[in-house]
Amino acid sequence: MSAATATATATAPAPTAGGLSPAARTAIKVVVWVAVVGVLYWVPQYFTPVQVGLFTKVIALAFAALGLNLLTGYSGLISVGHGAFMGVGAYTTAILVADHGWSHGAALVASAAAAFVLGVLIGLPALRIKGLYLALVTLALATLFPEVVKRYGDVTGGTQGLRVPKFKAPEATDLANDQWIYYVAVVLLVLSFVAVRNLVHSRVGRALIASRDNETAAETMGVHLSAYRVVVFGISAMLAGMGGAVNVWQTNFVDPGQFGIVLSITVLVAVVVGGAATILGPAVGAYLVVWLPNGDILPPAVMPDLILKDNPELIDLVFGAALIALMMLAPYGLVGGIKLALYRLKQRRAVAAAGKAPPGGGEPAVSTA
Amino acid sequence: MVKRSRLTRLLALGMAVGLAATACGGGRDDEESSGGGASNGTTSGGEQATGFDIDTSECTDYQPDTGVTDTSIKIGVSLPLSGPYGTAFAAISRGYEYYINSVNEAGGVDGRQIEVIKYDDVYNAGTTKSNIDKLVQEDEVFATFNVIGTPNNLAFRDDYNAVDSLCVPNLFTGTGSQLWGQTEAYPFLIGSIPAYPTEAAVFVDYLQQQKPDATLAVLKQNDDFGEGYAEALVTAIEGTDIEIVQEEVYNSDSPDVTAQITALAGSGADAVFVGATGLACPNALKAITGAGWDPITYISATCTSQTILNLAAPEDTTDVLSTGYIADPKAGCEAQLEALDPELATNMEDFRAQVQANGGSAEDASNGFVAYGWSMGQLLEETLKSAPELTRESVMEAAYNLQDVDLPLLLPGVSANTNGVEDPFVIESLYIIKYSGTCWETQGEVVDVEGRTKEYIPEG
Amino acid sequence: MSEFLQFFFLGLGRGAIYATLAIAVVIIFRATGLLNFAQGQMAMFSTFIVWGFYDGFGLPLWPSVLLGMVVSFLMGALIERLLIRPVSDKAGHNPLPVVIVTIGLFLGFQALAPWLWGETAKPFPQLFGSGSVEIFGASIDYQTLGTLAMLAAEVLVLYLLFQRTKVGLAMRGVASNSESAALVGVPVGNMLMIGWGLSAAFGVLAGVATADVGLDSTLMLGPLIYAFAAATLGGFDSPLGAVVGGLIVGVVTELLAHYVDAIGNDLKLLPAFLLILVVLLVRPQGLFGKAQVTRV
Repeated sequence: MSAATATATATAPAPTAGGLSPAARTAIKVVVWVAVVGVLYWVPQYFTPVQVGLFTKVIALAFAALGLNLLTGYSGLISVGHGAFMGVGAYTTAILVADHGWSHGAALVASAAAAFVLGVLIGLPALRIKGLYLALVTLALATLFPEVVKRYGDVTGGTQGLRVPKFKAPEATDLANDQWIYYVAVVLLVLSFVAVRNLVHSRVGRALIASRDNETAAETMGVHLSAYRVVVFGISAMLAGMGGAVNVWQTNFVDPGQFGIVLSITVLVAVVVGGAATILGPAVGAYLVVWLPNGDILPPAVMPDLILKDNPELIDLVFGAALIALMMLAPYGLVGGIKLALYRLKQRRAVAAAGKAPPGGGEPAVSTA
Repeated sequence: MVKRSRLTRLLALGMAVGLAATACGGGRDDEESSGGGASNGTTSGGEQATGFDIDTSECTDYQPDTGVTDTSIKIGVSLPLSGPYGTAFAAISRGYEYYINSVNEAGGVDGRQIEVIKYDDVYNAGTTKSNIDKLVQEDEVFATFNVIGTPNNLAFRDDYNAVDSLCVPNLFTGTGSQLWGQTEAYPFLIGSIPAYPTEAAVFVDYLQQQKPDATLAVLKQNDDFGEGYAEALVTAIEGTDIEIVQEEVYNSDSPDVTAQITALAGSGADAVFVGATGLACPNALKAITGAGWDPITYISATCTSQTILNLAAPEDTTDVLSTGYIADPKAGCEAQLEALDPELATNMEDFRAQVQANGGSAEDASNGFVAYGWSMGQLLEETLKSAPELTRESVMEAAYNLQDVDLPLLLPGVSANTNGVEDPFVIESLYIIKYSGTCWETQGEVVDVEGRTKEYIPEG
Repeated sequence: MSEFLQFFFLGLGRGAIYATLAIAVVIIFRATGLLNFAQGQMAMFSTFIVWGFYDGFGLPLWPSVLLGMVVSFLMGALIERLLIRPVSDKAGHNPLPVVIVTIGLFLGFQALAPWLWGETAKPFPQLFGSGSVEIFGASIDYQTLGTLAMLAAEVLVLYLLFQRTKVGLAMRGVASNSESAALVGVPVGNMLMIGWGLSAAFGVLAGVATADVGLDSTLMLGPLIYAFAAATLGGFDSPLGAVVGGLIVGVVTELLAHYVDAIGNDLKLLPAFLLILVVLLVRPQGLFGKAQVTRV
């Protein structure tokens, strides 16, 4: 391991070392953001409705992955139950819209609130002690959730599921339904990303990162760690709940089979593969976990469908192997890995230019993922 | 396929009293039986079907013949190919693929090759919906076929099968929910296997003959499937002296049902109805033996596959009852078929040879799921052939106008019959079957509730 | 009364299985301070190995179980050495990377088992035969009695191992403070391997005690959460606690399922879930565990 590895901090939004002037860096940022927005805008114009539906699924998962990333990447906590929080959000929307005549917009707020409250309730006992127990409690929650849905079939529709009225595009927009849903979801997602980014850079966020890197030390520094963690866990669950609601917009149907332990683990895979503690990682990871089994959500010319589409039984094996391999080889995930590579490159250049050793200190933050 | 006129059947009065089909031994080649008998609301003549007309005017963007060319017909399937349900259900799809392969080699349906596109949904209804979207909108299939699972079909029927939907045929769903009889609202969807409540009613009828004042205990899965049985049993015992003395539920994720069976055994009931799936079936049977209880035991048709029964010991499975409508291809059970109907035994030999000729293994040739899939392939072919033209409307009308379609592997006296809104259920004749510890044997005559399934469906 | 006793016995039977799996959880926790979320799936996979010896090679049942335990010991040790250690070395005190590896193992074993042995459930014999004895008008089956006896033997073996052997002492040393143990010359790495190996080997017993319901890849998905509840209640570092916790969880969930309609047999998991929450809230070290001291 080189010294550079030990000093790399992928949490840093942009490496501070390097030879670019602040103005140039700002320019690059603007270009990147314009490109990202352009691509996001272009997707439903280019792809077929079915593919746009898959992209909306990516967005739904990205919400949950963003929430989990806030927890895992920045707080050093892990949840194996974000599928259940998606389920809570999805069922809140489904029940309110289908049986109580709510609008999808109002139901989204309720979904977010319901998931937040459940997150806080679960977080209270689990987070008082040790981050490890949160994994235990959330795993149990992920297993329990479908059983509760089945048990209270009068409200939830049981195993037959619940059919939900479509989230229709307003006439004035002149959009097809799939485009409308995609755009609403993607705007909300981008706003959520910005909000999470701000949270991470706030006082609370810094305290959490400190606690991740050394739990006991953070506690002694006078950080109200438990309280912060419970609230952050609530926010994390809330984001997953919003993802659940978006999922309903796309499928117009909920049933307990969609929200089992597999979904929870899929969200985790998305975070780890994309790169915990990176802002864009969750979105990239969500894209990959949808793309691998489904194929064809890339322009056909860009890349052929993966073989996994034809060998569905291998997906879990690949996901499992990916989790292990990434922890062993590239704990920073894809986005974190790219950032790290860029950072190292710049360091090396800076070192070569200045002829001095890189600054020391700091933990390899993302290895906590 | 042999077309023949409807068998005479005298249904006794009242649905609870009489399911006994008193007439008509069920030779497959019955040429003539006079129609009539007690009115059962179905067509009684043979050839003159009451027409069932589908109105496509409410369809959104109705495309009559997408997926059909001069040389091919595209059919789409979504089913579990991986995951806990993958093995069993993948066998079904192999069954119809073997059959369709043989049809294609023989020239296809009126010169058109049937092309099957299938996707895995891992039994996840959300994935089924995405798969169907893709099949219809991108692969542009003509129809979907034998989609497995009740929630899975429910996930897309409003978009594709309803009166005011895209109006894409969803042929012969692989589930026995009673919901597949809502023809007026969903004219583009049709089921295949006997509805679960029908089974319950047939069993009550049998129980009444054996022990008219029996006490009955019920084990049910905690979902609509289990509830369907439980409610149908309540309906079916009305007016009889049979009494349900205890009910217990179990969760499909925890197949150890010893506690439930212990509780049921405590009631000392004369009979037990096990409405279960998967591993819960053999475990219920084991627990019944373990509790030292010796009731008349009925297991739902979902429990009757050999792979499931093999998980229990012979002493647990001997003399267990169920209902059946299709011959079990299990190797070593040929004598039972021969005794029932020599022609059926011949058909079974044909089936085995054909499966292996079309790439199937010897195991596949003795797998009940493959036999079911094979028969569904035949039903599909028959439906496509009998449609006057290959439009979505016309094919659905054909599916809802099946006249005694006599699939070779169906038990004697069982055939596929439908008649639009009046009689939307495809197979409504069942035998009580008893397990010898190695083979299923039919008991008595076929019980025919043709056209009457709706009566056993609880309100609501 | 006899009805109550009947369901009490049933609960003991379930609880014995939870306890057996909980012991495997505890062994790893003692050695490494981690929860192995793949514990159930490893036990399932090992049971397939036992089934391979039994059905494939036609060996008698118990020798197959013993061979399965040996293979599983090696498997567990190798997993520690090849997959866990590289990650935990890098992660230092942070448990999360290893937790993620165990979830990767969970998925991997879940997918690997049906890939190797097929999805169809396999018939697996009852370890202690079928049949039951009458006690006060209720019957308790051989399977329950046998599993309880096996459990007692396990606790005894573990007690002797930890208290009376050098390896056991070394393992305890590593568990309580690995830096100090290393300083006095304990091969810490080997001890961790042995811990994982032992855990995998004892996990086999949980698998084979359950597998008569039909062996497939979902075998331990249900028991896993109950086993975690058992370990939480008993204390994550106490084998005795795992046993007591397992039996309590088994008996309480079965009795609640039978007597409380609001819970019922289809929501047995709820009391186990609530138990985890309440124990963590009220007494996080569990009944028999040591309260944790965090070092700065």
